[in-house]
Amino acid sequence: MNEHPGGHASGDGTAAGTRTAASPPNIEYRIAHLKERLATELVGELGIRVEARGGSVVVSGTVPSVHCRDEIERIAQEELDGVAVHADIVVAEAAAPDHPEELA
Amino acid sequence: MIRVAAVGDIHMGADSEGVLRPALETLPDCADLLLLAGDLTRLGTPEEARVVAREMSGLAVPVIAVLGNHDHQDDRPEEVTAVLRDAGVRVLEGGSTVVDVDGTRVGVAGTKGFGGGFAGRCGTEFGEHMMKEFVRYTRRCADGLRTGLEELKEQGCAARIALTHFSPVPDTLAGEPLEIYPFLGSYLLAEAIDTAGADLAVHGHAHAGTEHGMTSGGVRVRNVAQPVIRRAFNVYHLHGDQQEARPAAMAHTSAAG
Repeated sequence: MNEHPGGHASGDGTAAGTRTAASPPNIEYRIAHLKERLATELVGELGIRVEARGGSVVVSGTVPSVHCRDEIERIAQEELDGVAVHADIVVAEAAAPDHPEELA
Repeated sequence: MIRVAAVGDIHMGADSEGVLRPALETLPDCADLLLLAGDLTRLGTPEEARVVAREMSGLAVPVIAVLGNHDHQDDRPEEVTAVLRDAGVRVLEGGSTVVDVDGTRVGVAGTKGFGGGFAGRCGTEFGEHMMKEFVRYTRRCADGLRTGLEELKEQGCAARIALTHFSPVPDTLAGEPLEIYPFLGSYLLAEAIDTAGADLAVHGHAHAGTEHGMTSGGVRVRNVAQPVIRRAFNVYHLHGDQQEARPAAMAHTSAAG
């Protein structure tokens, strides 16, 4: 059972998961490679969370610009080709604060 | 009262020119100084540093910064530092600086800091050369922070602030995976802060962490990573006269609101 670290035998075999059958067994390694790419390629993103959820992958976090978000989504789709990728990436807010914190 | 604005992890690149400027223009109305807690750029290039420099130049309040790990990615932290200094940003690494706020001396000591983990769950100076150097590097950063805070005490600062990129405490990492805590900070930074005393510690680095924490010596810690505070910066009101050189022994601290 554990000789193939990436092989997640999904418990919900009845799920509609058309992607599950297509998903290669080494999704953990593919996620690790994606994280490496996000860190080292142009975007330099270390703060993005990439997690396997069932047969799909969730990519989440906060990035500094729309361009960064688009790049991350593009790279994630590319690296995880054949896997359903759900992106929930937020662009950092740049508004001034409306109140201070009193450290009395 | 001293009004401290702070933000970290602004990760500026060519596409972020001017993004923060409208909010920064409001600083004179709400703050006496601005602290930048590292990761000012994405890949640490001088070009990105120039974007940051333009964003910060000519602000009506002093700007004090430390670099972050991203600002080292291009292996040119000295150039990044020089670009920022040319724009008037006071970049600290193991040193300190004093700001005069209406006659009150406010001191800031800073270091990027580094990882290693927290008491009981941390790396030690043992084994391979690289492992020993990893911990020694963090120790050097912490020593620089302690020395800086002590200098500020000798200079009679009414309020002292420790500025780092890596976290001194695990509290403000809550939300990050436990497994990566040793890459997010070190207790050596908190030990330095508690040994020398400070009124506030500000850091970034942990995007998925939380804002509020405290050292075991009772110094308030704030994670001001922009993804955490979800603003261009946060403002903290320090009442320096009530908090003169809070040492480790003064563990009693009123609960923050």
